[in-house]
Formats: sequence, structure tokens, C-alpha cells
Amino acid sequence: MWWWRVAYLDADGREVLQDANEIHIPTGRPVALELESTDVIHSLWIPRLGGKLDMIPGRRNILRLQADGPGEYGGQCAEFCGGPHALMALVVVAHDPAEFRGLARPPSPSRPPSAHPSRPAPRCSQGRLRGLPYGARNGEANGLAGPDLTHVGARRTLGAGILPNNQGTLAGWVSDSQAIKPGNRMPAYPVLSGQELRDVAAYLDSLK
Amino acid sequence: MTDPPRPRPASIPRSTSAFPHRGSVRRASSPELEAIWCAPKGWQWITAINNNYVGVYYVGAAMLFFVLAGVLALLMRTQLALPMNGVLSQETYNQIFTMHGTVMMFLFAVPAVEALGVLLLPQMLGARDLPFPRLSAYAFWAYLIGGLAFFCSLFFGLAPMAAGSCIRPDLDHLFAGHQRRLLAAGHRLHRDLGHRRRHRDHRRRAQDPGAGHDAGQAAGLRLGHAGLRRA
Repeated sequence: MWWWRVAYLDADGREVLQDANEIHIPTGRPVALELESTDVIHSLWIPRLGGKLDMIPGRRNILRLQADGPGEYGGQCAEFCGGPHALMALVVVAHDPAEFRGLARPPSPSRPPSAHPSRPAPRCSQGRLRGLPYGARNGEANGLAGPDLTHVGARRTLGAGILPNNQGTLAGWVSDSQAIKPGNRMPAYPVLSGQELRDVAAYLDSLK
Repeated sequence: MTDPPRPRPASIPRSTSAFPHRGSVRRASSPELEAIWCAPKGWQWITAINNNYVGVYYVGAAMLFFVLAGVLALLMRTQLALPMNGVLSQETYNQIFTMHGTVMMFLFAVPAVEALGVLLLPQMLGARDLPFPRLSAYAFWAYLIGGLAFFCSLFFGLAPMAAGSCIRPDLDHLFAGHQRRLLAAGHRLHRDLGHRRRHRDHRRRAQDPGAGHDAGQAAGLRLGHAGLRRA
């Protein structure tokens, strides 16, 4: 709860890419967003692009938006949805059509973290990280409770649009997300030592 | 500069006219009747059942809840005055805005209209009191005590945390059990004792205004009673 799962569909309605808390759209043409909810009523509101539309469990509402210029547009949940409702934000990034076509290529199959070229996987054991909504598609911990972390390092924000995304905020989020966003579904990890925390943050930041 | 009094038709005796006029009103003169309908004294104020007193209590209690919910609104606005302000915690803020909405709707807006009904309707209908006056007094006290108990849940951090002015069923899982029971019990008590019975009584009253006593006699007694209250 209290974050946005974003899936991009191709012309046949098949899901080609999954992301969280960030929507990339091309400029100059309308984009249809199919809004659903799996828990309670939320509402998607991107003030500079259009009005708000409820996201209702068991229903699919369609919101059409058009960005006339490239840039970042802030969005916010606009229907009280419990605890940290005020901290459920997102960002819409509008790209020039040519740039957007470059982004929209099918993603390469995710690599297991150990094979990641830039950074080895953190050395702490899986056991101590159990429960982390570890959606990085590495074959072992494919969680659905939290955002997909496959490309978490490439996102602009952390914690559903409330923090800038860098190694410092990633470390802070992993060590005590409950202090930053009380009530969110991710437990705090005070057990990690400073070095382990730095490794985890650097690893997550490397998942571009 | 006052207009000269208009001549009255001789066929309507001044003293029995039921309409307001400038002349003196013949007051109910039986000492027994005056003793029954006199204003309460001392502790009698809290056992009063006549709509003139219960109605004033009712309006006063509704205004009290209006002020209390207004204070909650001020707390919310203080928190919202600056971004990332730390006056209220997330949970306290959510409890306060839920209580603000609930109190404004169910402990102010609805009871305030009802209070005006209790206060004014019998007099507009020319009646001495509501039917079942003890029931309406009981409804008032249940409202006041129940409403205050409900409001006090805020001080223990146990207030419901739902959705402001509309209690949304899809947020039900956010209530702890005791919060849900408290809110539901409060709503049920208020609904059962308060407006449902009262509205039924008013409906019956409106359909048959003369039920129980002669309408002209009731009007005369009412005027006498109002005179007593002013005295």
C-alpha cells in the first residue's frame, strides 16, 4: 500500500515493463492510464496535467492525459487511503517522442545481481534481508508486497515520490523506513551494520 | 409616532383571540397549573423534561461540539501551515481529521437541527411539549454523555482513523476493533434514541395536531406559560 505500481502495455495489451512511482510518457499526444487498486480507494492527481480520478478496487478507470512540453510533473494520491496517505506521491516524466521511443525498447532480461557488471551483490546473507520487499528479478526473492526493484537505481525518487534517490537516502530508507514514512509495509533493518548498509545502498543504487 | 389602534370587530372577543396582539393576555390562573409548569429550580434543571429547557440544552450541546470540532480544525490548519510541520504526528493528524468530520456531521449538524426542532416545533404547533417528553430528555442526555465519551477517545489516542466526513467501508481494516465498536455504538445510540423516534413523533403530531387536547386550549396555555417564563 501507499505506492504506485506502474506497468507499460504494448498495443496488444501485454505487459512489457514494470516500474514504480514514476510514469514516463511522450509529449504532444494523449496517453491513456488504466487505473486500478488492489486495496482501498486511491485517486491519481497530477495537477499540471489534469484532474484527479479515483482508483477503485474491482474497477478500471481510464484517465487520459497529455503533456505539451517535456519535464517532470509531480503527482499525489488525492483520496485519503489510510496512514501515510500524504506521503504517497509520484512523478510523471514527459519526454520528446524521439527520446521516448529510445526508452520504450523492450528491456533486456534481468541479470542476477552477482552478474551485474558494475557492482557485486552485497555480502550480507539472504537471511538478514528476508522480508525486504525484494522485487529485483533475480530468481530468488520476487516479492509483490513492494515496488519492483529491478531498476530502482534509475528512479528519480524514493519512498513513493517523497525523497530524492541516491545512496544516502537508500541507506536511510533500508535502515529505518518507518521513521521516514510511518506505517509503510517495509520493516526497519536496524540489524545491518554501517558497512553492510553502505553495501546494500550501493548495490541498490547500481540497479539502473 | 404610533399608528392609532384600528377598531376591532365586535364579534371577536379580545381575550380569547389566539393570535398575537398588543393587548394584555389573560393568563392561566390556576395555582396548581402554574406550579406544574413553573421553571425548574436548583437540581431540577438537570431533570427538566419540558421541551423549552431540553431544547435549550440541546442547542447548547450542539454548539459545544461545534466549538470542539472547530478546535480540531485549527489544530489541522496549524499542522498544514508549513510543509513537513511536526506539530501533529501522522496518526494523531489522521485521528483528528476523522474526528473533526464525524463530530461536525453527527454531533453538530444533525443534532443542531434536531435541537431547533425540539425547541421550536411544539410552540409552532401550539403544543405544551413534545409527545414522550421523558424520551426526548433521555435522548438529549444520551447524546451529550455519549458524544463527550466519544470525543474523549482522542485524548487516549484511540479515536478512529478513517475518512473524515464519510466513514468509508473500504478503510474498515484500518480501525482497530475497539475503535470500530466505539464508533458504531455511538452512531447506533444516537440514531435509535434521537432522530428516528423524534421524527416519527413529529410526523404523527403534524398529521393530528389536536391529538390529546383541544388546540385552542393548548395555545392559551402556551401563551400563559411563555408569560411565566418571562416573569
